[in-house]
Amino acid sequence: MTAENTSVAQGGLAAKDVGFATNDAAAERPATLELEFSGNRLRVFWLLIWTAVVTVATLGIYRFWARSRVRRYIWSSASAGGQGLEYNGTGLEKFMGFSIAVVILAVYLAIAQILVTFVGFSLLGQFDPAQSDTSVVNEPGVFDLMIWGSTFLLLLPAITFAQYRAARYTAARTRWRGIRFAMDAAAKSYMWRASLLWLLTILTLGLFYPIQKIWLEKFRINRLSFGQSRFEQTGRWHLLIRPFLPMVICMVMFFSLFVTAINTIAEYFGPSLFLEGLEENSNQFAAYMGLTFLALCFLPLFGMAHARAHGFRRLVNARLFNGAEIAVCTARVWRVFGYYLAATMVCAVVIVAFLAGIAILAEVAGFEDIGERFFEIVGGEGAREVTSRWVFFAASLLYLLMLLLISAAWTAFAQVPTLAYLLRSTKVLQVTNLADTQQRTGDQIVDADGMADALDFGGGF
Amino acid sequence: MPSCRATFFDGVTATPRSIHIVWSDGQNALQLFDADGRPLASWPLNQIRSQKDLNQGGAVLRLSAEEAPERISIGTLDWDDLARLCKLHASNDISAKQKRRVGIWAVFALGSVAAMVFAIVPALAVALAAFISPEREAGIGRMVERQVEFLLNGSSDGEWICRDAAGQAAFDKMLRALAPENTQGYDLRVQVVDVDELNAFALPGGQLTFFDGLIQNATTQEQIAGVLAHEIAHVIERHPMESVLRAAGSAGVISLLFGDATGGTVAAIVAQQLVNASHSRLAETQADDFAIHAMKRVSVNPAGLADFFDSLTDEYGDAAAADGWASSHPPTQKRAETARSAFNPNETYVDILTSAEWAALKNMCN
Repeated sequence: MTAENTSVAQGGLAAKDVGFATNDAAAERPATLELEFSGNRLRVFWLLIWTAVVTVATLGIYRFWARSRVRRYIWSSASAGGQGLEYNGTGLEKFMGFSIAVVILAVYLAIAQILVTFVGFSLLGQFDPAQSDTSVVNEPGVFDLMIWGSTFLLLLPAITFAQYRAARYTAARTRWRGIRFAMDAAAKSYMWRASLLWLLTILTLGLFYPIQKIWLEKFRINRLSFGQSRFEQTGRWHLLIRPFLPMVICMVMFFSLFVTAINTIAEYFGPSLFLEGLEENSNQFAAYMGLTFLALCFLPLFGMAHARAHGFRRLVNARLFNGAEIAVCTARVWRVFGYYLAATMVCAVVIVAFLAGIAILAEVAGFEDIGERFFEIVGGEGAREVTSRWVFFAASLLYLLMLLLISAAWTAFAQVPTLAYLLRSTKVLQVTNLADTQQRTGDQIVDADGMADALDFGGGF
Repeated sequence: MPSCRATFFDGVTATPRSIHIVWSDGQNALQLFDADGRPLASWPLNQIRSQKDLNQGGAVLRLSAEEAPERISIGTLDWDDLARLCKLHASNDISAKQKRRVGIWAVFALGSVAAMVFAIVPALAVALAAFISPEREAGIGRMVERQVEFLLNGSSDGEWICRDAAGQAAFDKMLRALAPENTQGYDLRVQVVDVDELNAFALPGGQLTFFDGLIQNATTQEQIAGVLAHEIAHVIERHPMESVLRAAGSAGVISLLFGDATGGTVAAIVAQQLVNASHSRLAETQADDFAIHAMKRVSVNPAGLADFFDSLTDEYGDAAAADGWASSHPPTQKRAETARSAFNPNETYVDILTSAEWAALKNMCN
């Protein structure tokens, strides 16, 4: 066993921490506390893959236990002063919380969706037949988008409500040095605020997001406590404008370059744009689109990395604990950008492997045109032919495997190393305050994060 | 007696305390001593719990009681030895009462989803569909038609419709003969489109659409009459509207159950298909019954419908039978038998169209 391992093995009592960790008042207390993240990305990757496979095999039931396992690993990987975080949420309580949420949401969602569709159809049918041919609502896709949009709006309050409940549950199940974190019960007032702010963000095509983010961050952090000590998020409304600015520029550049490139490629294949290109040379065209996307993806990735690293730095540096600055973060953008790029390459490899798998499948099944034939089958068109059914099944499995690998790869190779880097570049200042923190009584959160789970954003960690 | 250093958290303050812990094979408890050697506590071995899937070397121990606040943090090697003794999985911490509560909620959840999907949503769909007037339905039908044309033909300008006056007149005559007196306010229309598939569909509002492939495949006009009567039934029974509303109402509820982006979506789609298929099979059977009835009323041989089903089987195999529960239609051969059993050898059957009209219909798309 190496010296470093021993230090961890002693629960943070080896050399560098002893002075601080004991009760000895005479001992010199270090001014800062190191944050560490020792999680192994490959282990995270396999843990995610393995639990996802079991989840699929159990028709989704295992996902509650899967998430508890992943969180336990991630939490225990993050440590402050040598002592890891403890996550003690259980799969069973998540399962029960989910069941409770489903009872309520099933009724709400079914009635909301059927009414939205009914109202949509009633309005749609009102267009005069002579005019309806020119009406934009009658364009294929526009109507579906309207239905989808209204359903989303009806669900927005439920989603934001559930988000806060889920965050509160997670805090309540997190301990460090045996002391609980907690968030105040404020899901309803969060719901109104967050729903309105999200609406603004959508209406401004995302430009409002940095302001929404700092306001909601303040709402949440100001209700967060460790034991009986409270956190506070300071910072004006424009705190996150700078971190997000490159994102806006990068996205604009990305889209204009992408459209220009695709236009050029489409021109090469034929005079008219996407449609003819797709019709005539679907496979080559799709391949060129994919390559163009890959060649340009560094732009949005840089924007994301900048928002993440710079945003994290600004938020942490403006955070208080017991009324005093809690930490100093010096995270840089480039490291995070590197992780994002690497993870994207892994995802690209997965996609190429998937396409190769489909090509082999089509070859074995004897299809002439791989692309068209495959999508016909997946689209249910060819499912009428009994012989192509096994191909449909095999293709679905491949597709599922691809989604699973991509989501696991992004978590393990982008999010986890980023988190590790951000934590390592942060030093906690409030050492005395932390050590003296008193326990608080536990929160009973019967529904766990069940509602978030039912509404489909409980994934990840 | 094995012993080691560990860190103790009392669960009251965040201050770590350096302690010694001592255990032995003979004793049933872990002895905790503070830095000065004073006994601190004694933890029964069978109540000591640790978590799985931890990353930090070592383990964090706690007692099995719910919300037990104290924690002991120890190193890997020490824990390996101690874990043997603790028999971690000796007892189950989940009480019978807790299990019962989880079970009851799970049953509630399933019951609530089942009630919505199989009772409340279908009933609501039927009730709401009746509120959409045939004119409005026709507007929706036009939109759906454009989408279908776009999907099958790559454009939505109506170019795919075969416009031949004689053929159209013949088809209209057949439609008038088979349509009931009371069309429930629907303006029934029929058209042939230039697609080489053995299929036909009814759009909301009364637009019936036949693929030319079906017309070409038919050896007798009774086969077309059978399919036409079947599609008329879908319109008059409001099946298209009801199925759209029902699907809209149950889609979200079903995806609630399976959730999550990867595995769950597939399960949700499958479940959605199964639910829709079960409703759809019922509607198809209703439409078949209606068609047989309509054909008998105007003395057209109902075996024509059976012949059509036979040619479907020849072309595609009995996919519906192979899919069973997942199929949107009942087994094709079973449908053929039902239609054939309506054939009465003592009855004289007539043709709706003259042979010239039938030929015009056949040639509509040429």
